[in-house]
Amino acid sequence: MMQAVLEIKNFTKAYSQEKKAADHLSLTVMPGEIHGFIGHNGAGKTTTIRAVVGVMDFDEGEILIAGHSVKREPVICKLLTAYIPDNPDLYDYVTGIQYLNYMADMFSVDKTHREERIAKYAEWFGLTGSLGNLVSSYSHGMKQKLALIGAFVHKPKLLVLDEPFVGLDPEAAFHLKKIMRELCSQGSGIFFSTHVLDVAEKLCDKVSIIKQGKMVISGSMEDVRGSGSLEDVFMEVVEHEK
Amino acid sequence: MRNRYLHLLLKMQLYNFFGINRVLHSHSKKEKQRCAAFGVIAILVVGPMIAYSTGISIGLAGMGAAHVLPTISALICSLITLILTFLKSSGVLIGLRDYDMVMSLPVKSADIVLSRVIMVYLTNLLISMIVVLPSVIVFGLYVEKHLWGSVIFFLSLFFLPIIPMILSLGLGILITEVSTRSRHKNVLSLVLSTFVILLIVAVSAWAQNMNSDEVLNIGLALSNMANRVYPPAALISKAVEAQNFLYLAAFAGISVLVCCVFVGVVAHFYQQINTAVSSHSAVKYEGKALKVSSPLKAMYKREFDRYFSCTIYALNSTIGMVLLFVVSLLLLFISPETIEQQSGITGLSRMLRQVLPLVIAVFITMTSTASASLSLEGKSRWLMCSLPVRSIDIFHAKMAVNLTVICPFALISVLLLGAKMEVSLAEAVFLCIVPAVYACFMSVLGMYMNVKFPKYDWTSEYYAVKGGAISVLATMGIGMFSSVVPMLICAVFQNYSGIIMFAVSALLLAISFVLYGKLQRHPLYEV
Repeated sequence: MMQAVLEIKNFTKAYSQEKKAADHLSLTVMPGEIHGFIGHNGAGKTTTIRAVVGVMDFDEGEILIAGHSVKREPVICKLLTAYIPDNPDLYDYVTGIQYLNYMADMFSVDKTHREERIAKYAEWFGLTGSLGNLVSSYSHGMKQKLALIGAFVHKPKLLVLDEPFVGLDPEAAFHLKKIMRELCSQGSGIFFSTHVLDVAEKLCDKVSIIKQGKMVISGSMEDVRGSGSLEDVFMEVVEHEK
Repeated sequence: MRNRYLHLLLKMQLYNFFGINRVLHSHSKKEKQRCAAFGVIAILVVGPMIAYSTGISIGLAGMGAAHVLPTISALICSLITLILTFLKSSGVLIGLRDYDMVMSLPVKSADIVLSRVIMVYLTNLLISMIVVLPSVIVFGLYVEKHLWGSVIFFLSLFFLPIIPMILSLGLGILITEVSTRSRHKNVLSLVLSTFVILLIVAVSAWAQNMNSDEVLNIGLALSNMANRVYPPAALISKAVEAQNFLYLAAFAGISVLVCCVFVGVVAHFYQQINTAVSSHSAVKYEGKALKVSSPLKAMYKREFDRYFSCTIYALNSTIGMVLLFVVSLLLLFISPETIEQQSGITGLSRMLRQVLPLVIAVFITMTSTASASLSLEGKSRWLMCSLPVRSIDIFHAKMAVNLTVICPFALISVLLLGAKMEVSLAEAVFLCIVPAVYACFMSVLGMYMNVKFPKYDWTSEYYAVKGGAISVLATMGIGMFSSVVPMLICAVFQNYSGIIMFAVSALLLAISFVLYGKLQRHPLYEV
């Protein structure tokens, strides 16, 4: 049986005693799968994502990346993962190429692959000419593109993205979708949160909708959507729960 | 306050003043602990300052020189303000993280500049009060007939920090402005800033060594010299002596006028200066071969880039070592016997030779890049936390930078001073071991303190490096205590200096191992 790239089992995180940001969440992302994570603001998406990538501790449950526990084997898990937060604040004092080389060093990418991948993705995102400039001179969109290239440079087994399409121009969004599909075709899994339901509907194989930290619905896009649209399902779920 | 916008700008900054707002509104236990730790450290730092100031004032007054207290206080207060303000000048007015947000508000540049200057003033006022208030009280008690003089002395405290503060802020802006024209603006800014600090330290050291016959003479000499080189100090002196409020009014008027002119000029060019600082010359990138490094080396290189990218960080954490280097160079041209003759203290050269390792250690304990290195990750810390390395590897890179800053300066100074003082073999061994132990101790201690008390939510790097950063204060406080106290003990019990230094080194090594063990077990999370 094929091993899941991401398994979240009964994940629970409480910031205070009264409110749980995530309440016994469980889901699975298989290799070659794009999994959309949907919910309104404050539903617990970012909390879940940050726990998955190991930047936040959690109270209960287990998160496994390719069978490795995020809690017990954080370094192995991080080696397999690439993460882009919703608002990627990068190091302002380095140039674009220095940042990418740094990320390649951190993930031990060999010289040939790093040069090849950086050249390819920078070209796709129209960033090649700006790589010699300081990150502080980049626009928000450029920083986001740079962060994406930094994530793709080590060909991650699991790609975790928090609202990746916000702030990207249409061409960059097109290339991002293309790279996501390319990674999936090579056996990686993708887990990303979004508010853009149209994109999720077209791109995702599976989708999970959460509300107030609890899983409301999760499954293949066809099963979740049924004969309607993802937007209809989302609105129905939100209205029903009010 | 008539100016509503200024009031609002100030209020917003006061919320961040020593983290007051977070303490008031946070229900987190960690926040309360942080507040308590800050309180303890503040008491440990402020207590000796008050005791020292009171002791000196009582000493001078007891010798019948109470009348020089106002002038000396004015001079000391001005020098402290000059140095402390200069250290933070680059991060207070120019290149702020919230610049875009503040400038987009419907307020005048003058209000923004004034609100920032007032915040610096309040910090300086607090320090002035701590340093000078004991002198005011002693003056009032000893010179009973000078009731109005005491009142004037007290009132002058509110105006004393203004002129030196403006001078330092102005110098800071000037250096920033000059540096922005260079490709290596941060390095240039660091070099210029270090030069100014050395200049200020040299002038104050020269002033304090005018006459060392006895404390009274130093006091009188300082007073005379202050009146000559810093005329506002003479105004304070005259105002107190003649119990004349007109002199005080003149001093206050000059101070406020200088401040107004400064605010007006800076406000006029505020946008231009900030634009120059934040603009970068675009270079068309052409693909070059990339160098491959190990993760640890990559992190170390990035830490070093970070070090040079932030003037206040580099300046604050290197000044101790630069001072050590300068002192070592100066001592090459002065023989120990000359120092002994000039100071009039018999056996000083022998004593110096015996406590030399600890003298070097005092400078080393002024240096800790590690104590602010984690805080400086700020909003980018998600990157550090999501890297595929152990937390301890991240700490290793940060501590390695601290050692890199300390070791070259310490090594050169050890060689220079060791040769000059003609140390024995045993003394040479201590001269090598003691600084090395202190370098390791400060690296581990700084890292541990920053892990315990990180400050990520800064609007200017200044607040991560200085501005009440608990980790930095605690590291410096503990470090200085660990070097100054053994040095004094060695100076008193010279025959046992070897045993004392051995014991202290062993203790510090043991503490370093314990703290390192704790760091190894500490997971690093974004929150």
